[in-house]
Amino acid sequence: MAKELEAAGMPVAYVTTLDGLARSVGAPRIVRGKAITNVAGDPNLRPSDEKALRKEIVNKALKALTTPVKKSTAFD
Amino acid sequence: MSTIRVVHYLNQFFSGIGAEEHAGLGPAKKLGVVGPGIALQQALGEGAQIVATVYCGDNYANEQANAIDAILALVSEERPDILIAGPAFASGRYGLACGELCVRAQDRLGIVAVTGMHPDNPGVDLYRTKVHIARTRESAAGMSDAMKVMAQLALKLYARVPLGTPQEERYIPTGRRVHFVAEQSAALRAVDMLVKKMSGQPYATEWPVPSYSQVEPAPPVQDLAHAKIALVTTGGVVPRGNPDRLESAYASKWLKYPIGELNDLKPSDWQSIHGGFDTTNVNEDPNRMAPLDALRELEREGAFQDLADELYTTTGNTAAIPTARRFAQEMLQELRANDVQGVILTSA
Repeated sequence: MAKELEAAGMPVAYVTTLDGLARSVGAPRIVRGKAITNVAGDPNLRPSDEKALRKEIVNKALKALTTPVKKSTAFD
Repeated sequence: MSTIRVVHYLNQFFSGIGAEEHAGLGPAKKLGVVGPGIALQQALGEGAQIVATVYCGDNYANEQANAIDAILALVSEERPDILIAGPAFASGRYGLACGELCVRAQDRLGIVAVTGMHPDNPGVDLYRTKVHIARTRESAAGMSDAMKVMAQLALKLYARVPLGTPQEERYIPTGRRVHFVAEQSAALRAVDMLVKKMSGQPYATEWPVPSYSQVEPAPPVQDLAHAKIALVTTGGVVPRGNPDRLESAYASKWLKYPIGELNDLKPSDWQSIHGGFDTTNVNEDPNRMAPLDALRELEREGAFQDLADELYTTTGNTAAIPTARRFAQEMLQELRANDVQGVILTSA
């Protein structure tokens, strides 16, 4: 889906824990998530820390959306 | 033993009629070999003879509703034992015509049919499971080689000689699984492969990773502070109770739910029905899959102007690529209609 949207001109920040897979299939903008069962969170953290982590991940996604890329790129 | 009768199919270019301006040419036939058919006849040897060459313009073959049947009728008149089409190399329209013609020759005439294409030909994806396709180079520079491979494949199939592997016989893998007992255990083979890899020797994988087409990335969002962003997830996030019965695997649809009035996704109201991972953590806090709370905060802080009023959701578990592409195309219409300039897509 990320590739199809990108190919049509819609930038997509693809947040996934399977970033290696995303890269091998050629998704253009990849943001590494925390874990498969909680891609944008971490139940082991205190709520305030978890929220900070989630904001950090979303911020990376926003940065990915504003960054020109030529090929599959991971944003860390 | 009587001579095996072969019909050869070509497009307007290889039959010598002309280039693109003749692509609208309808189906026609000449007795004997034409053009590259000479090389094919050589490759077939004395036991098989090209009795006729059928040809058609690439546009006609792809645009006219009954074109392939008309071509097949010309083939059928010759009562052939074998049809060899092309090779089409990387030419898309030619490849599609060759593939469809071969399938119908097999199905309706009950004869052996073989074609040849470069792996990137769009005809490969459509027909490789249905017809044997010799693996060719991209252009006619690979003609004589392609003719040899197609001739060998056709003669073996006709004689009902079991084919070797796609590597040995140089055809594009058909997707059929053939069971055999290996001489060495998997552990020995794996270590052997690893040693070869580490010492820089050539080695062949037993299970190639599929290769995926590359896409041209979209240009970035120019002015994030004034942009509208949409949240899309393949994590199976739905209102609690899954009122629209989104599938937990092999999703047949995507859904959208209003989130314009929400600051976060509450576990009392939302859940994930994804069947491919343990959803406990997401069901405890659905923002862990669809990070609405963080997006709202960043929206308020002015990181971007606006979050789209709907959450777009489906289940990515065991999704087929064509289905995922369709979902994306359908979502795209809505995203554009809502002036969305960028997407955050989350998945497991």
